[in-house]
Amino acid sequence: MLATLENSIRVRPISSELSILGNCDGSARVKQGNSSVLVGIWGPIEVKQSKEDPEKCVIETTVKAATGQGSPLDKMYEEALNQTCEQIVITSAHPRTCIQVIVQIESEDGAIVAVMKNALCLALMDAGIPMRSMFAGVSCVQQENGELLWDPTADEEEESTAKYTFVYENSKNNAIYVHCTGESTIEQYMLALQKSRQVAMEVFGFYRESFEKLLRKDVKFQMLLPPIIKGEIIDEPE
Amino acid sequence: MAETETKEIPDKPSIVVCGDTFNIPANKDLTVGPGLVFRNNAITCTKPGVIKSNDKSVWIDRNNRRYVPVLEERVVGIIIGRVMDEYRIDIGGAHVAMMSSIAFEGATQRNKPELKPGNVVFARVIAANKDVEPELACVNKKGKANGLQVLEGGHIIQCSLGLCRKLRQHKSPLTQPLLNHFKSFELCVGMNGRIWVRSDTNKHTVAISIYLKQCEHLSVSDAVMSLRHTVKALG
Repeated sequence: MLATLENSIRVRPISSELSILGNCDGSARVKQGNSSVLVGIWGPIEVKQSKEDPEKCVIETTVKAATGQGSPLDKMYEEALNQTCEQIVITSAHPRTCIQVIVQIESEDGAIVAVMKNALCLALMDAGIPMRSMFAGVSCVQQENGELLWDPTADEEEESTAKYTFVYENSKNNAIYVHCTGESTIEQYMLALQKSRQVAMEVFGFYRESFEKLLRKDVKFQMLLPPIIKGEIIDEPE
Repeated sequence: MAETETKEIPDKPSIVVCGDTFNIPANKDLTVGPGLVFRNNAITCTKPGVIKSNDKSVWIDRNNRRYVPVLEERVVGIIIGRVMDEYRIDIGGAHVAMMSSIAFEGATQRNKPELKPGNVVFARVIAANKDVEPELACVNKKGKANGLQVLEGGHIIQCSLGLCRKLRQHKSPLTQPLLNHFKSFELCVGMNGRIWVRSDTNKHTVAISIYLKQCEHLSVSDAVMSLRHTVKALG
């Protein structure tokens, strides 16, 4: 993943685990460096009549912080994740139902919203919930010397003068969510927006790989798929 | 904003993810199946999985856990209540399904089975609109049961939808070992991820249930080996 990015963009190694929670319809854990988020999804399931929507499915998100009790920050994260879900999930396919999303932040070391978005996307795909496209979160900060830094650690975020989180979707490679804090110029913002798309494309490639590995491990599909002939054979079907 | 390029539907099964788009083939009429939508003059994937196509249709195969009712599918449902003339049945989907109390072969208002919460039925889905509760019936279109019935006794196990589809295949390699090992047993596989098992003795039922659950993750040969161990261990 690192090889195809420009030299100026450094991102931490990303790893994922899919279908790890036995009780959930879909689940995923994503780790970027020391930031780790676990998402569990149930859906489409029954919803209380007071909450149901006759035209689309309701998405209920709950974010739990790594330590301590809830805070307004968790509500902000819930709102951010809900926004992306509403845009991407084809909610009209399952009216009068609910999709329940539980996000557990396991450890926080910077770029947490981007990691949450990535884990959410993988979990939604794992659950088989109809989505218009995939989405990938990219986090970028502006350091004091004006340089942009991608996928920052918590220390780098502390020392930054501006923070951006972008979410791209892969049907037209457009940005669908932008969150900025701090002071920066329009030029810096546009540069961050444009370069973050590259990182998002890499994350989409990573999603594809993750699902390839998951599907190849499923004994029911092993006979179907041709073996991977690359430099490194990851899993060989019997 | 660059558009991702569209390509032709692959001949061999291959892995796709959400957002992948394909061109509509010019030379044949294809029915677009589960996991795909027809949008903007192209076919877009809405679920990740293995894309398969034959002459008539194209669809995405993926092993999910949550059932979404589809017309004419056979499901194993559990009665959870009764509202006037209809039973409320849990089929594992988002809504509770309804079944008329006379939707059985030869049933009339005076002569019909009286079911209680906890009874299990093998029914077919006669209405599966996404906006309303699904409806079931234990008769086919001509009024005959044809295998649809109330299931007495036995044991229900829950599994993924993909395993159910594999079990329902004709002469499925997963059920052949069971025929070799057990003299008599009954299996009822619902498309909703529920399998009902009944056999002569409880031990056999347990052995079959364990075997089916293991078929989820083990290859057939490994599952058969573990079946032999289980049968031996249970005595």
